[in-house]
Parts: sequence; C-alpha cells; structure tokens
Amino acid sequence: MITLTDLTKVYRTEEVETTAINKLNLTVKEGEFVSIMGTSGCGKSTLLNIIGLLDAPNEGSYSFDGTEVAKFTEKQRASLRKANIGFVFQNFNLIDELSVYENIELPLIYNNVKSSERKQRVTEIMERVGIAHRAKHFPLQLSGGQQQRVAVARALVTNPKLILADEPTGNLDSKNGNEVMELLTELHASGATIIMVTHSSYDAQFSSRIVMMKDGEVISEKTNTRDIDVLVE
Amino acid sequence: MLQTWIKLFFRNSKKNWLNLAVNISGLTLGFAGLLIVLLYFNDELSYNDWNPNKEDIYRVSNESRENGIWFSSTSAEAILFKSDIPEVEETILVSPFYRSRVLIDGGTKVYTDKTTLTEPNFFDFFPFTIIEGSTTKFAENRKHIALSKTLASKLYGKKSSIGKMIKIDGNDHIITCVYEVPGNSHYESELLLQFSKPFELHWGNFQNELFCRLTKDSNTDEVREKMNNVIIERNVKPQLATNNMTLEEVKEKYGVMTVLLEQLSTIRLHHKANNAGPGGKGNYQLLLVLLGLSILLIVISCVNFINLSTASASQRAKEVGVKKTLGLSKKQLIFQYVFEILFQGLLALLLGLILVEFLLPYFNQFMDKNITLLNGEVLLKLIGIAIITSILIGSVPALYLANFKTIEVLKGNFSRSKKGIIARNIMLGLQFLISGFFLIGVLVIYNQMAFMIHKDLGFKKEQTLVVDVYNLGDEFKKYTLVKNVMSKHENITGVSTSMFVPGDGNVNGTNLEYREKDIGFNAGSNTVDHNYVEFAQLNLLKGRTFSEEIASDTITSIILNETAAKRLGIYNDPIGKKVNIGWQRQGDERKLEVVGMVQDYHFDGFDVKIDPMFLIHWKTFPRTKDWINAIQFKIKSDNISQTIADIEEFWKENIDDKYPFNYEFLDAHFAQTYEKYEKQQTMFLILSTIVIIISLLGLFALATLTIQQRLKEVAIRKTLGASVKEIIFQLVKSFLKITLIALVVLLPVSYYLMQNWLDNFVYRIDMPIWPYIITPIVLLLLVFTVVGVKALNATKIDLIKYLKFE
Repeated sequence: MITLTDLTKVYRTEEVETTAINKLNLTVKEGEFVSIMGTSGCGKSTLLNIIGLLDAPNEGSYSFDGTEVAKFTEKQRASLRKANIGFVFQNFNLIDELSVYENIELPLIYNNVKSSERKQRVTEIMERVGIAHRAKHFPLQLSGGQQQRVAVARALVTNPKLILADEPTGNLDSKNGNEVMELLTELHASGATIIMVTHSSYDAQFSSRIVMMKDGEVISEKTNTRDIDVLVE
Repeated sequence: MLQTWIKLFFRNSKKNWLNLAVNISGLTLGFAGLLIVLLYFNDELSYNDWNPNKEDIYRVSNESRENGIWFSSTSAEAILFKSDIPEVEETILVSPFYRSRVLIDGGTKVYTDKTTLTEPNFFDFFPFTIIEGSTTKFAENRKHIALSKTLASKLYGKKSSIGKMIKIDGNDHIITCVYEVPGNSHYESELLLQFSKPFELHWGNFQNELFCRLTKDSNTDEVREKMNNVIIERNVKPQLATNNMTLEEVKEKYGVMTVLLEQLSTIRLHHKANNAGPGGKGNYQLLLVLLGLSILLIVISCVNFINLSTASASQRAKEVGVKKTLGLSKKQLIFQYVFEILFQGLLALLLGLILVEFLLPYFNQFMDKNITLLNGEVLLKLIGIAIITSILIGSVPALYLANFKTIEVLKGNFSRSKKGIIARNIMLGLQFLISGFFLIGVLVIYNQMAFMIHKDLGFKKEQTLVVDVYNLGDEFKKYTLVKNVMSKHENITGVSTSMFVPGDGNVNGTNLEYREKDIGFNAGSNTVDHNYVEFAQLNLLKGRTFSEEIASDTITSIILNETAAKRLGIYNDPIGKKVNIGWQRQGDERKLEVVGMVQDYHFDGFDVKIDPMFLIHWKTFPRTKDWINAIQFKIKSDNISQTIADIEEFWKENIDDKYPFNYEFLDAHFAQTYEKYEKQQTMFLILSTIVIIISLLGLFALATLTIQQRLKEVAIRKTLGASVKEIIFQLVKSFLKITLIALVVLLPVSYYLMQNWLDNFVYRIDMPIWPYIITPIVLLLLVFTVVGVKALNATKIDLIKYLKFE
C-alpha cells in the first residue's frame, strides 16, 4: 500500500541544514499494523508527517496505493489526505468549542457527506469506540482516555484506508493508554492499516511489525511474533 | 537585566514589526488628534485672557421681541448707564467691524483692513502693550491715532513713528502711540481711529458695540435691572404721551427692550448675541464635540493597542514562563512589560508631535488660526496623558502575561476569558458604528452641498465680476462714470450696482408698509441701478423693471419680491399698489408705487430663508447714493485677465488710487455663504478618514488576536480536510456578526442625526437613501478584506507545528 524509496527530507534554516530523513526505504502492506520507534530527533515524526501527506519529501519516491505522491502540490495532498487518511495525535487535537458529536462529524462535512448519512455514520462510530453516551459533551469535560477515543472515532469516521497515530498514548495514564491500544488492535483485527509512532516498547508490542529508526534511517525491522493477550494486563 | 530586556524587546519587535507598527501608528493618530484639539481649545479659551480688566468689562447686548438679540447698542445707553448707574465706572463705544483705510505719508501709502473706530478711552478697556508713545497722548485729541507695531513698521521701518503726520481719507492725523496686541483679543486692530466728535444722546442708532466697566464685585443681575430701568425711564416713558399709550400697553403691543451683559473673559465662547467681536466668535459646542471625539479616538486606539499587545503577548508566553521559572517575580515581570509599552507610548507621542507640527499650518489655514506647538502647558498635559495612557494600556497585557501559570505556559496551554471577548467585540462594534456614522455623514453632507451649489438661485452669478468700492465719497457719480466708459469695452456686456451683493451677508432692512391694510414689517432694502433686474437676470413675474426713460422710477417706483408681496397681501395684483418705507423721514409724503414683482432670489446666503425685499433706485433716496459697496461687471469669457486689467487701469486712474483694487467673481463670492458647510464637510471627511483608519487598525488587531488564538483549530480543521474557503469563512463569520449588529444600530441612529443636520437648512434635500446602502457595503467589504487577508494567512500555517505542540 505504501512504498517509500530513497526518501529524503532536509530542513534548512539560514545557517543550519538538518537531515531529518536520509534515503529511507520502507514498505507497508495493506492490513499491517506498523510501529515506528526511535530516540527523540531520529526522524520518526517527520516520517509520519510525510506518510500522512502533511509534509512533502525533498527527494525520493512515495507511492501511496499505487499513486506517486512525492511531488504532489499541497492542494493535491490535501484532497488525497481527507479521503484516505485518519489521524490520531498525542494531544488529541479536538476543537474545544465543538461537542463530541460535532468533532467527529467535522471530517464528513469536509468530505461533502450528506447530513442524513453523516448522522448515521457518527452514531455508528461513537457506539464502536464506546463514547455514544458523551455525544453532547465538550472535550474539556472528558477524561484524557475519552478524548483520545473521540479522536480515534474522528479518524475512523471517514473509513480511511490508513490510520496514522502519533504517540496516541503519550498523554494518557496506563489504564487509559491500554484502552486506546485495545481499540487500535481491534481496528487492526477488523482489517485497518495502521502506522503508529511511539516511544513505548510496550505499546509497540501490540503491532505486527516494529521499525527502528536512527538519524533518519531505518536501522532494523522486526516482525512481532508474540501475540499480546489483550485481556491480560 | 536592562540589557537583556532591551535585547528581548528589540528582537521581539523585529519578529512582530507589523503589530508594533499598527500599535504605534494607532496611538500616534490618537495623540495627534488630541493634541490638535487641545491646542485649538486652549487657543479659543485664551481670548482676552491677557486683559487685566476681563472680569470687570461687560458688553451690553439688547434683546427685544421683534429683533431678537442685537450685539450693538445706542449712544444713549453709553451715556446714561454711566451717569445714572453708580456701578458703571466707565463706558465706551467701539465700531463692531473692521474697516479698511489707507494711510498716506508723502509718497508712502499703506493699506490696512483692520481699522477700528473708537473713543479716546480705548486703552482703559483694552490695555495693549505700548511699544512707543503714550495712551494719554492718544486720548488728548480726536485727531490722534494709534498703530500696531506691524503697521508702523510698514510705514517707517525701524524709525520711530511717534509724532508723524498721516493723511487718512483726506484728513490729517498724528501718530501718538504704537502698540502690540498681547494675545488673542476681542479687538486685534492695526489702526485705531477716533470718532470725530463725542456721541450725542440718541436712542435709535444701534451701530457700535458698547462696553461697560463695572466696579469690582458688583452684582450683574442688579446692574442689569438698573439698566433696564434706565431704558424704561429715559426712553419708553417719555414717548408714552406722544403715542397716547400706557406703559403696560406698550409692553403688551411692542415689548420693551432689555439688556444682556456678557463678560469679556468668556464672551468668545459663551456669547448670547450672535457675535463676539470683529475677529469672529468661537463655537463652544463644536469644541466640546471635538474634544469628545478626540478622547474617543484615544480610547479606541488604546483598546486596539491592548488587543494587539495581548495577542502578541500570547506569542511571548514562553518567554514569560521561562523567566518565571528562573525566578523573576511577578512585579518585575509587570514592570518590565509596562516599561516596554511606555517606551512605545512615548515613541507614539514623539511621532504624534511631528505629525502635528506637519499638519498645523494646514489646520491654521483651515480654521483661520495662528496656533503653534510651542505651548508648554498643553505639551505638559499631553505628555502627562501619554504617560498615564501608556501605563494603563501597558498593565492589561502585562497582568495577562504575568498571570500565566508557569507550567501551562511552558506546555503551551493557556485559556481565554469569555468576558474579555465580549468586551472586545463591543468595542469593535462601537468602532464600526462610529466609522459608519461618519461615512454616512460625509455622503449626506456631500449631497446637500451639491444641491446648494447647483440649485437655481433666482439670479445668474456666472461671469460677474464684483469690484469693491471703499469709502470714496461721490460714489454714485463715480459709478456712473465707470458705467458709461466701461460699458463700451468689447468684453464687458453690462455694468450695474446693487446694495446687496449676494453672498455678502451684508443685508439691511427697513420698514415696508401697506397703510391701506395697516400691514407693516421689516424688509430688505436693496437700492439698485435701473438695469439691475436685467443685469442679474432676476425673473420678473409681474409688471416691469426700472427704466431710464421713466422719470418717476427715480422718485416713487418700487419693485417687490414675491415674499414681500405675499406678506403685504397683494401677491395676486401688486401693480399700482401704494406703499411706504421706513426711510421716508417726517415730511416726506411720497407714496411709492409698486411697478413690478420679481421671483424670490437668494440675495442673502443660501442657508437663510428668503426674506421680504424690495428694489428701489439709488436716487429715490439721495442719501443712499454714497452707500455703494461694489460695482458689478458682466464680462465675456474670452480674455478675462485682459478685461480685468483694463478695468483695473481705468479704476486706478479715474476712481480710486488709494485703496487696493479688490475684485472677486460673484460665484466665488456667493460660495462663501456655504463655506461654513464646506468646512464641516472637510472636517467630517478628515474625521471619518481617521476614525476609519483607526477602526481598521482595531479590526486588524482583533483579527490578529482571535485568529492567533484559533490557529490550532485551523490546523485541526485543515488536517481533517477543510478547504481554504471554508476556513476563511469560519474565521470571518464572527466579525461579520459584529458588523451586522453595528449596522442595525447605525442605520436608524445616523438617519435621525443626519435628518437633524439637514433641518439646519431652509432649502434642503430629501434624505438620500444611497448613503445607507453604500456605507454597509463599504464596511462589509473592509471587514472581508482585513479579516480575509489575516484568515488567508492563517490557512498557510505550518500544520505540524500547531498539531504537535499547541
């Protein structure tokens, strides 16, 4: 589904040139759950941003579902993004002024989904992530775990081909964190493609493959054989 | 520490230079506006301030039922008030308008248009600074004159002028005194001439301003009562017998004249009569309105300043967080921030001063003033205001910043208060309201002005040259000479004269009576030459015009305007009716016969209702033949300057070689009658421009602030796929709401106020509707543009930054 070849991203300021990603190669197949790990500044967030079409690489090729998108304009990236990719962030990034329902509905509005269908889909997804009873609440009235579930629901509501999660448990305690990871695992089990950046090797074990990065390069890849029993802490 | 602070300030400013520029320019405009108004206010208040007698000198005005308030008085009042009322120490009569005179010493001729006729004791009332000579010498003889320093130096340069013999109007005078007017003054004359002889007691001649000097601490109400008594005892009662009426009957039928006393110290701004000396009067209401507006401007620019500073303060939150973590106290933080703002405030003040220095010449020209920036008191006040405002506007963002919770700030979270947002929105709405009002005002005034300029005035003012006639003697003879010779000029199609030159504001009247029906009233008395009706292209409705062929036209013929005919009740059939006028003295038994009726025309200003008026030939009352103030020429449009040069040449040789040859085209002359409104228009235009600029700055500030606070939201929406259009709409929406609310208030309020303004005019337009359509469109467009640009910028943000860290 995703094939990155010799991908390079360089940040330039007036004096300094920082290579965030250095000729990186990576392939992610449909239905995979991949964790990206590495120390701070290794380029994992940059990589996620590029995969998520929030940012563009300087060199190399990026094929998304068979389409070469490395040279896409911002507008092209935006339209591909809103149709195909859902995001989950460490700090949830919900809009404080909108209710749970409205937050989840937002991407559907931007994808021009009809109002009746919107209602059905939002209700469905709220049930699925277990937040339906909070529909009318505002983000600040929810616990961190609940907020992240809203964020996940929002990422899922458009049925994206790919879900990107940037340290989804970073702001959560272990109990809430676990809940979110279980949710992602369930999604994976039902066929979703997920790429997750994380610091936590515990979280990483939920995924099917772990990619280790250092200095903008992939240094090792490891396929997870051990299944975590999600019911046991 | 100071060093770090300065470094931080300049680096921050560099990053936010646009905000800084907006902040400082808003304050600069505010300070400049306030400074100009304060200077103006101060200048108006300073009238007669220098005069040590200002508290004891009162001008006497006369109020009567028929005539309203007259600011001039009779010689009888001057003489009797002094002799009969102990509190009145001294009185003086002074001519109320400046006259023009030419001073001649051998070959040197000097012209002044600021001559005042007065009595010998002038300097007891107005003790000007004496440069040379003495005031006692001046008072000794009625041939003695006093000159201002400027006029004296025009005559004699640096040499002494005391004792010099001068010819004025053919009479010899001796200069005995040279003075300087110490400050703004009721009289700022350049030449003081004395009345040729002392006044005789006369009750009928309201020609001069009367001043009384009262003893210290006298009760003005009592003095007034005594003066009113003098009028009844010495004027009204003696006439009762001849009229065969009782005092009560006279009071009932005609009313009795009473006096008003106006203190010299406050007469400029608080005059009850419609005059405050030959220099003109002040307008206290206008001053208050201007002061209020300038304060409003300051307040608005302060609010804008606060909004924008708070916005950029959020950007500096991290700096605050770090400083606090490193142990800086809250007090120190606030102090630093206030100090920063104070610095900006003082910079704005400096720029404001430069701006005012630059604008003052125009302002002076516009207001006919002579104001300088070198006014310690005003400057001190302004500096005080600037410092206080800076501290005030500095403390809000400072407190906002200093109260950030250290940890949250470092994490990048801070909340905003709902109350603050509402207050800001109200202020912004208010700014829209004011801008909108000025915009509508400008448009309505413009419409009325256009209407006035293009309205049919009832006479033709085009291609008419008006040449001033000074105090020449034998004026009618000279006029006839001009007419006979210049009529033959190939580019002059007509020469005529009328006492009323439209636009002069110089209209006098006398009684017009139709004794058959016992109707009488005051009517404008316009003495004219035979050809005037044709010359001015007045519209003759009935009868005929004056003709040189008909002898009675210089003896008994009279032409009325419509209003006069209507008031006399002879509108339908005026011709042949016999009337009398107040100029006829006892023994003059003539009956004047109406030979024609002309359509009403604007012989006075445009904003004055057309009064009853009659036309009569100069010769009908021979004493009027020396009252010609101007001769009018109709000239062809080719070679105008040559024609004028020809007239001037003839004029200098045959008519007048002393006074300057002063001419003006009648249309320009008439335009002076709406000069006041033109000034209002300009003022509205300037004010509206300033207010709109400041409001736009405010809008910019608030847009910056709110959009700043919503950047994270923008980032989220964008990530979720919102288009640029959708995001811009989202951001502009709240501002549109404010604008619409402001508009709802604006339209009725300004309709009402402008309706009131239009009611000032006797001849006015119907309220135009289009200003009420254009103004909302303009405001909405401006909002869209300013907020739209800001919002567009917001959509270009670095998504990753806001999603990750905000």
